[in-house]
Amino acid sequence: MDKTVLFIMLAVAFGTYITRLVPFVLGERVLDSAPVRYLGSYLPVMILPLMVIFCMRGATTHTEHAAQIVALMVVISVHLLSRMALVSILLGTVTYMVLVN
Amino acid sequence: MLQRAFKLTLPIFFGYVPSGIALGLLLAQVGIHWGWAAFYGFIVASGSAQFLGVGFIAARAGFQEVFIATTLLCLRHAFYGLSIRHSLVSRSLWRRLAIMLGLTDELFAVLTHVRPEEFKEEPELGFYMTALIHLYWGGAVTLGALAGEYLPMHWKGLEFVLVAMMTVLALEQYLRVKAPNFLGAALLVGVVCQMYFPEHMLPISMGICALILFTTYQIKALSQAKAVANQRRSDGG
Repeated sequence: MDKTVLFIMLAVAFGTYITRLVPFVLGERVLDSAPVRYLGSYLPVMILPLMVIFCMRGATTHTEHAAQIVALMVVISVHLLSRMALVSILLGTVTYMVLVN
Repeated sequence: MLQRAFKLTLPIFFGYVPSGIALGLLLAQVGIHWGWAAFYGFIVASGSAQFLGVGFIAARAGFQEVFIATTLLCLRHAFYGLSIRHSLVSRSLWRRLAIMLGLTDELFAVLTHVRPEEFKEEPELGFYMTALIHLYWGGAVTLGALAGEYLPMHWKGLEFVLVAMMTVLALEQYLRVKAPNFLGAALLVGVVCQMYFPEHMLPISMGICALILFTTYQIKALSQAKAVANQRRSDGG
């Protein structure tokens, strides 16, 4: 295994642990301030779509791109109807796998 | 006490086993030896950040990029600590630190539901719960990686699991805060950054999004202050 992979694993661990220590280092006063609260409540809804786009970049061929769009629509519509994460993820992935094979 | 800790964390067990196995399978899929997968599963229990990490491993990203992305994704944890202080009653500083560091979304949800009196009676309960969920996660990841290595199934397209998972998480966030403008802005920024800065798409787009939020907040605060001032003026006149 190359070093890059080890560094990635360590970066995930450090990145996680730092955020978990923040409240105990900064204390209540900073975290309870209005701007921090605002950022904390709206940041996830902006960060997660970026993750989606980032994770989609593995596709290279036209078939894969088209399959991604179709499977993405399956995930979104199934999830809006069922609200069951496991079902939406499973159906979307199966759709993608059927389309690219 | 261990029994009580197990009973309290049982719902987490049922959640972590399938998702940990899925992470292990994915790691095997991108060519990671099961021993390293076990290492990954045991050094941290971080769920979605670790799934994103697989994407980074596949793309062979650099330390800084992964670190920034993980920190921003896990930033919500910074707000958890304040609500679980009632569980930090162990006499050992190390054990209190272990609970702080091991605080996942799921553990947070369970800890907030345990009454403070219960922690007073059993000061080590929080630590045992943290240790247990960490074991569930690490064990499940290892199991998945072993399965992926010894039951070789190179299913083309399995990597879409990542996209599907992030989409569901994004959708859940959206349904919670209902902020179509921020969602739309993020999608636009993401697509543009993917086109123009494919190498550093995440740090750049995340920085822009944080800036958008900060500016929006400032504008809101400013207009609110103005409204208050106007109100005062009309009251005075």
